Amino acid sequence: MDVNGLLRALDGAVQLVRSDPADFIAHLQTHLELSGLALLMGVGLCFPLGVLASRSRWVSLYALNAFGIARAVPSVAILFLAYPFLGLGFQPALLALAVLACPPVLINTNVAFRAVDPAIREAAYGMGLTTVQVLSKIELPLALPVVLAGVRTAAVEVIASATLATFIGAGGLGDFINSGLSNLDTSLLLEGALPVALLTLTAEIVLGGLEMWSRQAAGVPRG
Amino acid sequence: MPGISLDNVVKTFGTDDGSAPAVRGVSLAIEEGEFVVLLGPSGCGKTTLLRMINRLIEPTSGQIFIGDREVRDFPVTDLRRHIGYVIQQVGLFPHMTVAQNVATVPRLLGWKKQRTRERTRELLELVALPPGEYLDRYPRQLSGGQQQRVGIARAMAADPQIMLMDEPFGAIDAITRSDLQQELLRIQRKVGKTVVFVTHDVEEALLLADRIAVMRTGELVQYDTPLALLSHPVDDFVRELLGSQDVLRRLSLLEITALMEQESGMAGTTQVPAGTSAREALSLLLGTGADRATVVDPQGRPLGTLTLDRILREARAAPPAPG
Repeated sequence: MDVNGLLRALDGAVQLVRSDPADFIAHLQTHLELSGLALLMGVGLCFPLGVLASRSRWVSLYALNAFGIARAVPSVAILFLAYPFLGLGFQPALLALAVLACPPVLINTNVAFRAVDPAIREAAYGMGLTTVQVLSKIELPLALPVVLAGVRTAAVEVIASATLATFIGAGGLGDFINSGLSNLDTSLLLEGALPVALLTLTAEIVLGGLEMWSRQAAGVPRG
Repeated sequence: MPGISLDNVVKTFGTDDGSAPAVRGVSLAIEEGEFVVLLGPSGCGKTTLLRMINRLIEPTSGQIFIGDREVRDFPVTDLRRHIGYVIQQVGLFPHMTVAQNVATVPRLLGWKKQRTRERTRELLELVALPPGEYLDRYPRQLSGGQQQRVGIARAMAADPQIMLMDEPFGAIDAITRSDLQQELLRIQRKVGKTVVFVTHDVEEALLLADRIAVMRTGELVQYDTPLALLSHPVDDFVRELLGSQDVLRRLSLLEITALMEQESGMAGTTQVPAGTSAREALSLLLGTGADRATVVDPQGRPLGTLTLDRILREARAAPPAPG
């Protein structure tokens, strides 16, 4: 496709959004809900699990291996694996995406908490901080940058993979991409693909910024 | 309240029948205000013993008392908040400033902000870090020696009567270590805490301790003053542990005003404060290449002259190591 063709397709995409903004916004909203909820579920499950894994050999062995295997399965396969058990629609897609969000969060949380200098922990306990205080006031601020890096990876993966949710009828921006592809309609394809690209970029930038802030707060401005 | 007494304390790690106890029935009484050094080679159980006092490790059997209360009678966090704890790796919190690090325990104890602030400044002055310059620095901006000064200030923040120190100067270069040892002695003369100090460095033990508990393979071998240990070791282990470089060790117990001459034709350009050991004066003179030094009082007024020759004569005059 030449440049003019691409510009026409872009223009077409803008026209599509303008002609039915409600439809576009509904798809965008589904996409955001799917990704946001999946990320929340992934972090909600895997952050605590990662902290546990950092202190227990058993949790670490089983959880990390289980999600390690999950990570090896392509995201589209996870979506289709969810289908026979959970049927079609929003919920199975959400679950599959949540599973997808897990490995980076789990792995990074585990590594981040393990990386806290044992001397710092010993000093903290030795001064009479409670377990909860050591975790929240000492370990968490120090582990946060690496945890957030995991969340960032997970967010980008989930937003991108949420486009596949269309295949099990969960909607989202993937609908546009899918019909655009099957109808050879580049404008329709772009109506889905461009917002997805913008969303992943935004997630990358926002979470990257948070990560940098947390690095400053942890007293490790570089690296 | 607090002296510390240990009554037949045993610690066995692991559950295997074959595992040797790390501490085998140690009984020890530490008086209030006493500076006791636990001395022994690595693996002798000295650190395990220390960590049982603030319950970072629980004894397998036996009892530990602070004053007349068993340590297990205190809620564990209360106990630890009232015992200063300093470790070799310092363990400053890298995401907190020096001030925040030092304020850790006062905050846990719910001190008023004003009181915590004043105490923090006071402590930094005590460990010779000017507060104006250091309060808002982060640990990574400090040298190893400065970090351990902050570590000591942090441990003393809530004015605990007891300080536990686990090889606090073990990772610090020799010159700075010597400064910090002097500093610790000065602080201890001022505040008079009950200190339990772990080291494998014999010189350090002799320099700092009121009494030294020599340990080997989990057992207490001898518990005595530095001079008594040097002059009456109970067995070959203690004799060998303390015996090498005996001459230097004698010099380290000797204070320079005992060796200086009050009338002297020529003053030295190097100054040493009264109270310095002959051992240190010797290394200072050998280090600078000077043949004499002026001994000065704390106000910097000259008291007399100490010559290299006099120290060396004293060293030669010392009787050879026994055994």
